[in-house]
Amino acid sequence: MTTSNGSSGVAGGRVGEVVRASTTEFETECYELYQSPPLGALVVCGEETPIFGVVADSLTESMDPTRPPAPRGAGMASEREVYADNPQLSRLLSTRFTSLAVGHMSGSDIRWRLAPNPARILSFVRICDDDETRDFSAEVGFLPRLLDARVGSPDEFVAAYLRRCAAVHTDPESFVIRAGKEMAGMLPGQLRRVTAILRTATS
Amino acid sequence: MTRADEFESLGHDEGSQSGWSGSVVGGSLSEGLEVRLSEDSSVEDVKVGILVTVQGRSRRFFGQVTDVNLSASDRAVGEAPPGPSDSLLTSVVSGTVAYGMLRVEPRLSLGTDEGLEGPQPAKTVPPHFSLVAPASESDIELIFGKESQRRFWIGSPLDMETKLCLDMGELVKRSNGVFGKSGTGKTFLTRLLLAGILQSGEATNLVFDMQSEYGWQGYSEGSSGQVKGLKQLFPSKVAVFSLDEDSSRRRGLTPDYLVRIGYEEIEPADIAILRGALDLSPQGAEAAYSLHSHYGRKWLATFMALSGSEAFNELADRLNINQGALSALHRRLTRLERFGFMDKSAVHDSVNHILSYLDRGIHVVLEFGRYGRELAAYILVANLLTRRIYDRYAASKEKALAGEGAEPAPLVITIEEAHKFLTPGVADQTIFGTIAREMRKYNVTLLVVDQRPSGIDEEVMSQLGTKFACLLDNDRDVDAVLTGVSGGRKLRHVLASLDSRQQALVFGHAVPMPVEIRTRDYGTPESYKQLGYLDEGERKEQVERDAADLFGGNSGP
Repeated sequence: MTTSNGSSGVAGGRVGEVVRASTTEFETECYELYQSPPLGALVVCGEETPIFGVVADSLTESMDPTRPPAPRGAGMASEREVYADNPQLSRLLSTRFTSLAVGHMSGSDIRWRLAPNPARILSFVRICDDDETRDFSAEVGFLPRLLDARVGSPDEFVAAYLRRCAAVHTDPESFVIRAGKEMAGMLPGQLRRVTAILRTATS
Repeated sequence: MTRADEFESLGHDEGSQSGWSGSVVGGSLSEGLEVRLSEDSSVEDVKVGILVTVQGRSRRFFGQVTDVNLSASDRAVGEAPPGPSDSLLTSVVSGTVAYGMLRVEPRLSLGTDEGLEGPQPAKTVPPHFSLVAPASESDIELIFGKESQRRFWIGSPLDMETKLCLDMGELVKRSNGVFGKSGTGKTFLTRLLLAGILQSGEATNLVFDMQSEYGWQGYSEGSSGQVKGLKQLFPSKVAVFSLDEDSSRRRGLTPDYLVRIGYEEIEPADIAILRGALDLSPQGAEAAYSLHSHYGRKWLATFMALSGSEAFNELADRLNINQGALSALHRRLTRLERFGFMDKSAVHDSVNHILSYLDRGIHVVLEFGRYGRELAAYILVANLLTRRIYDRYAASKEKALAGEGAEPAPLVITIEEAHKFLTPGVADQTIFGTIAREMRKYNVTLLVVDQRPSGIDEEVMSQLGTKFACLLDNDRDVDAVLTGVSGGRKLRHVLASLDSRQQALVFGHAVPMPVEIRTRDYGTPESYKQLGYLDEGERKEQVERDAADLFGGNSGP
């Protein structure tokens, strides 16, 4: 499998660049305010050893922590009007999202395990296309690890990931069942939780 | 290793891969192995009683599924199960959190150093995670042997088409039992066993045929209504004796010999065994011995000729017996006078006739005709003839041991309704109790056919070598059949799960391990052919071929 350019994003399908990275996760700052990929989306970063991640959390805040945003819309008719009236906001605010590393490419093969090294800072990050998502979701053994993450709401982003992957599979139900079996088997005593995730994923 | 590889390692061909598999997750030799079914196996594919193979690291084990149950690793399965329409969650949970568990009784094992000797009784268990799968055809052959002159094809293991064979030589070494409630196929199974004994040549049969089912023809609940008896299938090897000529002729049979019993042939012991059937008091039965001492051989005829209370009083005084007991005995014995085969005046030598056939290797079926409905007649004749035949066999055997002749050929005596005369307290007085206990000391063994094994003396039951148990639904009968059987408690589930027709659990001396079988078909033209039956045309051709072989055919000078 080879990675290809996605269709969304600002430049070459890219959505942003890695600004913080560890072995288990990487944080991406988006090129555009509010242009973070959806929760649960599969993204890939880096060129030499592309690392796959699942979007687990997203955040928009002031770039300068000493200057938090203040309300500006009193008397305005819509939110759009607020941004139109304050064009500097797009320079003062930034959108970042955290992805949990779930695999990487080794040559032309997918490895569903952590990469030997973290993503490099300023690696380009893009959303995987349908083919990549389908190929990567052939394996679901990493799902229990995602559910143990201390980022965002694991059950929600795992459910979102399942929903997005199922949508690109020819037999979505089989995919969800396979993922469900993996989680049920790996999470002893947590059937109610698995059930809730699957219900969210399929609702 | 893929599942296909795993199956191949257990000797399965490709077609068997549609079966189930599991892995050992616990258990012990005494309690059996706990086997968890693989995720893609359905618990519905596994039946209690089927034979399985367990591939250990260096040994291969053969066992039997004795229980199947549903387990769950999460309490939520029971507390909040998926709804009936929630197919997704049901699919997710099935095989992962909710799964099937089997209890497998390890019976035999085969190590690399025992390949030539065949499977031996299991003395250890396979390690964790050993692969478990249904036994293959080659496993069945390895355990039970291939069909041959000595090994008779009796049926197929549950859910298999493989021929399961019984070593008839081993079978006839001990007394055996066929049990099952009415309509479960006891008679068909018995007929097959008799045919097997006959074909193997390992013994001769003497059948006390209460319902006239084995000799000329039997009855089937199937569409045909009638099935061929042993005489029709093996005319030159079977003789049908009859107590009721009219009945035999009505059924199109000319009996080889009409059995008659002279009064003088009846001994007090023959009356003692009839206590239950004739409703005799212990004193009445004892009185027969006194009468015999007093009158000698003609005791019965003389006693039955008595009439009038004075005669009874006088006799009672002389023998020092209670007059009431004597009168009661007389009244009860008048029933014997109604039996048409009883002869007051003459002495018949039915025993010699039977023995002359048996000595020539001809199997004898004694049909009771209408007297089959008279339990007293059945018990009287069976006991009387057997006792004398047994005595003759014992004498021959002892002579042979002394180097004065050949040993008598093994004899298997088939009796029905055994619970009526092998009851506790009576069994030790009858010749059948003696035969059952002494096994083949004198080359005579029993084949007991019965529907109420709980009525049979426990000691007799425990001495039966091989038991064929069709469906039994009475707990006491089940207990009785499993008396003295190693791991009998676990076989209860197997026994209880038998179909009500054409299925039996076989265990004991003649089989290396208990096995649930679907008995071989009997009653179709195909089944007759498989047993070696030739119709008239075929028989003629056979005779001509034999003649040609013997005399060189038509090739003249």
